[in-house]
Amino acid sequence: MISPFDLLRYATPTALGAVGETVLQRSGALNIGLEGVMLNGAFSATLIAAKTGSVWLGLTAGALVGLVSTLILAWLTNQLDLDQLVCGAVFNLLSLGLCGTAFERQSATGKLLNLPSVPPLFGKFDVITLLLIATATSVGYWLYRTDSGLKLRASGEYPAALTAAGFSPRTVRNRAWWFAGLLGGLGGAYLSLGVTQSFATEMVGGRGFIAITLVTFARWRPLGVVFGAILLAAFEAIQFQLQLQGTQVSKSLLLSLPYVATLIILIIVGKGTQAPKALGQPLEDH
Amino acid sequence: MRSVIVSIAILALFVVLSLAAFGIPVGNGLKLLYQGAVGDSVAVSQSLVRATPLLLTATAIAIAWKAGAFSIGAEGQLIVGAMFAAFVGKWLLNANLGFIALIAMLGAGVLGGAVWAWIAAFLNTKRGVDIVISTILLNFVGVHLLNYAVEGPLRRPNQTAPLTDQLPADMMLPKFSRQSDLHAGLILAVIVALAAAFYMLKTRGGYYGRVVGANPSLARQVHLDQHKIRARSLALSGAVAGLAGAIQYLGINGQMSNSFSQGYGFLGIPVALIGNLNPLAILPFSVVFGGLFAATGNLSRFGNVGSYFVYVIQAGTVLGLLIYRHFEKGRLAVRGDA
Repeated sequence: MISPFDLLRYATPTALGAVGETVLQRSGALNIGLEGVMLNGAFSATLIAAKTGSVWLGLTAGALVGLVSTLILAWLTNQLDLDQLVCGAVFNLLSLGLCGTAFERQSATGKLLNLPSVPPLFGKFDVITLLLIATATSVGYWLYRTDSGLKLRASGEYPAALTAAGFSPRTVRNRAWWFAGLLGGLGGAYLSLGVTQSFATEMVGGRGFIAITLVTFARWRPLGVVFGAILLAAFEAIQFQLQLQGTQVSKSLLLSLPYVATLIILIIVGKGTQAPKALGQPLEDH
Repeated sequence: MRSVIVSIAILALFVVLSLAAFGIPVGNGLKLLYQGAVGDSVAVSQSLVRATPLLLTATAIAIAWKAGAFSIGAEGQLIVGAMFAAFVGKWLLNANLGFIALIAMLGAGVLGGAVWAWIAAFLNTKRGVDIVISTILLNFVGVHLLNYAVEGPLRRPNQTAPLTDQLPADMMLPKFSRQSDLHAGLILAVIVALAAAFYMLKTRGGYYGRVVGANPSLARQVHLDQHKIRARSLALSGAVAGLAGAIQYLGINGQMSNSFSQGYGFLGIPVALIGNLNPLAILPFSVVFGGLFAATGNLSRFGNVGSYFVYVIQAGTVLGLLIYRHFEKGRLAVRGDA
């Protein structure tokens, strides 16, 4: 049987992206481009780790490129007030194009084959999985127990109130974008260096989109999205087990269960009360 | 007209910029692209074959988005549409109905896509579920359903490979000539795009859709049933995306595997945006991008640049266009013309 540690490791990239997305959505912004942010993180991490031989430099590069990605997205959506959905969807495509083309030009040189791995810290935990748990826990605390956490939630619920109180929702959202970019990029970096030990252009494979739906699934709670990501990983593990045992259950139908379950949860809770009221809406102050 | 010219200018700029950015000699690159897209009759037919699904999915996106239903589910709808068509195809495989079977399969594709989109519309109307989230989820479910179908009920009897039955030629869309892949789906796609333009711009239903999309508070004041109008547009959008799936299935191979979709549902989004969500403008731009998709194959043969190159051009053009429009609007506002 697959150990819970492996599940956690496998779930970490999605979970990191989803924790960042949770904070971002709480601030009222929606990053449909998470898939692209993660891909950029994964590719730059691979590139730097292969060039320098240092996994830490690779992970740092992934996080920083994730940050640069969301700086662009934040400029487009938060400064120019362009549509968040359009910018995100197009950013995914742009990232796929850039990373895909750059990878094809690099892979011809064969330099990206030897990747350093993320060493375990104690037991089967490594730095990044521990960081994930620490981040999710502290973000959960921060959102509800601190002034700045309250400001962030206000920016997502009713930005006009934040403006009236003398703060700028734009600044709050910008910082949320930075945080989401760092985590998304790190998630992508961990995917290539920690989980698969290789890079392929299609490797993110919907994890960014899954992370976005996990946020809704977990009702915008950071520890909830980590739990959701582990649950998804468990489903995939069960599918592999069943395949090995030659059971007659269709693996494809099994794999679709988490998405169907999320849909059913959405049907039950409906719009619910937890969704940030101003989610996805541009700010109107100038 | 002006917006089309600006779009073309930005597109051309991005082709040149992307070539330069990846270190390809611009003159040579442009020549290779040109030859790959329109160099000979094979190239032209390849460009048009690629343009066909782009035209349909971009039209589908335009119908939904114009009515404020921001669906990114064209991919799932395309897959489910093709799957419905394949089920009908399997059912009618030995019935020797020929053309009638073809019509039935195309109809099944339309129905499949519409049903898949309608689920998202229903959840939005009844439970307030965000269309963006539900369509993402339905994309995943659609992909897994297709996997299940080609490995299970749709698989060829007595075969282990996850492939559907090969349809006979008389059940497929007719091809224009034996030498090329160009099929009658292109004509169908153009008709559908023109019909969509007529619906959106000249009928009451399309007008209501545009009102709901452009100004929800006005729609509320004049007592338009926003949910119903948005749901109808979304279902219609799904129908067009489903048709795209059926046409891909019936036009190219007449056989389906789990890697059947090549992401046309997602690639339609930038085409729709560059065409300003207007099917009449989408029509030429889908041909341009179909040409670019066909042409990059040619580029890679000589320049070590693969199929991902077009995505850079597509995405860059949309972003450039959005940013241009933003500052253009600002300039007009300052002059007091807006």
